[in-house]
Amino acid sequence: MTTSTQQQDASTTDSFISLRDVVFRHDTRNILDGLNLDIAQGSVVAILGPSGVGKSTILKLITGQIRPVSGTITVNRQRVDQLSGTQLNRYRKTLGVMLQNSALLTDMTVFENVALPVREHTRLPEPVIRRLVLSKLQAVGLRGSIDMLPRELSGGMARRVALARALVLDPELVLYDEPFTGLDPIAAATVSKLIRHVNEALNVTSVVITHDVDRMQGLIDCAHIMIGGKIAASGTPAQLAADETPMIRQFMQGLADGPVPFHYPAPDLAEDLLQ
Amino acid sequence: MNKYEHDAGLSLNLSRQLADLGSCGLFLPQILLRIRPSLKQLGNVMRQLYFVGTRSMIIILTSGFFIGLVIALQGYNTLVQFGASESLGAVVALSLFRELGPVLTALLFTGRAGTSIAAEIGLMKATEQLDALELMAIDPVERIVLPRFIAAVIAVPLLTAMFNLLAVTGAYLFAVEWVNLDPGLFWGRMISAVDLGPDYLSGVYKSVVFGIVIALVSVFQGYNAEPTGRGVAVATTQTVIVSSILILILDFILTALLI
Ligand SMILES: Nc1ncnc2c1ncn2[C@@H]1O[C@H](COP(=O)(O)OP(=O)(O)OP(=O)(O)O)[C@@H](O)[C@H]1O
Ligand SMILES: [Mg+2]
Repeated sequence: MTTSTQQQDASTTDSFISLRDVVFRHDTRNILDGLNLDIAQGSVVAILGPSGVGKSTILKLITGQIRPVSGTITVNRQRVDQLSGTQLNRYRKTLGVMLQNSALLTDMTVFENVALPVREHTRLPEPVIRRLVLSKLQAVGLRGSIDMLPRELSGGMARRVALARALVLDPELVLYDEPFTGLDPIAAATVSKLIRHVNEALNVTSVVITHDVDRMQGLIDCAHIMIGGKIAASGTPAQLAADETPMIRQFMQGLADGPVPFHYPAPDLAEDLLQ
Repeated sequence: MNKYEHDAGLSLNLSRQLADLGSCGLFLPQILLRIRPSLKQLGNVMRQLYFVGTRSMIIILTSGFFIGLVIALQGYNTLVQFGASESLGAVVALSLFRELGPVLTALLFTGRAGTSIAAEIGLMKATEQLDALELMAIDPVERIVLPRFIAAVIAVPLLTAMFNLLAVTGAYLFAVEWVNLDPGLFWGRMISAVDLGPDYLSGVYKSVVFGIVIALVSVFQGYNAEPTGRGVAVATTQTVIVSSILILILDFILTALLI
């Protein structure tokens, strides 16, 4: 796997996010098992991998919601795994996060949801907040829904509001957990374009977690494929598509048979049935 | 054992319940430490107070009125046998202000508002809303838990006063309109029998303590719920069980201390 080593050597010097030998476990099972990952400043990077492999876990490590058992996590020269409560809050003000389920506050309108981080962290006057929020909602095509409550939104609309909320304070680093699920092709293309646009306009670093291989073209600079608690391969979409390693080929082409485990670790089926 | 593993019903695991009570108690200073003299916080508290108050008003007022009618009816039937029916006002007022008002309001409030606070916070946890707040560098305890806690603490004594007011009204209507007692005698006996300190204020103290207990148990159960549908259901049930038992135990202790 030449691509993966090349990528690492090229980016260790100026990487914005760097995970080194990260081990994380739930109960006794190692979810991440000595994972290394480097993400360059200003790039759009995808983390791909089968369901349950630990993609959201990487996101939680980068945001400091969980800490690794061992290994280091560095973002913008800060050791995220060592930040104290107040430092963590200061760090998080520079992040925009779109979680796997949209997580809008249910008792607030769309407008108030998007305005919440602005109101909490700035002292901008009301007309400025209004203009800011409306422009972000316009960008996701939902300016008309400002007075709706989250329960009145469809899943895809809620995701786009969550996107507007993640971007409202112009973060340095944006993390998207499955931004395309529940979106129709038009909305998905819009969101995809928006991710790219935000990245270029504000020079942010974007990490897109997805298992949607087809959506990557034209959106991302570099993809990392995660299998079995490690990054199995890294490279541009074209490089990965041409990769001959059986595991990568299987994942990229969505083949049912191959070395990538589809099943959650389990005892032998025959043994289980006989019990 | 999994930290979320409790029984939805009457849990017989006493040590687990006591451990829960301990962490519940430790949650109180964490909440109180986040009180700031800020307009934003005041706004959030007022919003919650409005929700909690309006949600509970109807059930508290109707229950109060009918409880007033019932104790007047029961009291009258007993008193009349001793030829002491004119003391009805005094009997009603004493049992209400000291016991029934604070205890029944607290139990009704638990069922109506405490459960919905627990369910709401638990659901926010299950749908990652609390995580999302943390990720926006907003403290969920300050933003979500604290306003609901304070609102409930304020609401319980106020609702107790309303409960008492409606119950006395019910009793008055029964006495004057139904069994034709003299209204002057009804009020006169009531006023001369009730001492502000030992009778009325002891009820107020109780309702303040009950308010703190319900508020704390509800937000604690919600905030520590397992983040699933079942977890929210367990949190709601536990809120009713734990609050009700604590209210009745504390009622006994406080009565013994205040009498
Ligand atoms: N609270 C938990 N307790 C035990 N195991 C957990 C817990 N949370 C996650 N896991 C395990 O960690 C693994 C990785 O979970 P994660 O959410 O990171 O997967 P994912 O790659 O994001 O999957 P998906 O694409 O389905 O979202 C899963 O196998 C899951 O079983
Ligand atoms: Mg995930």
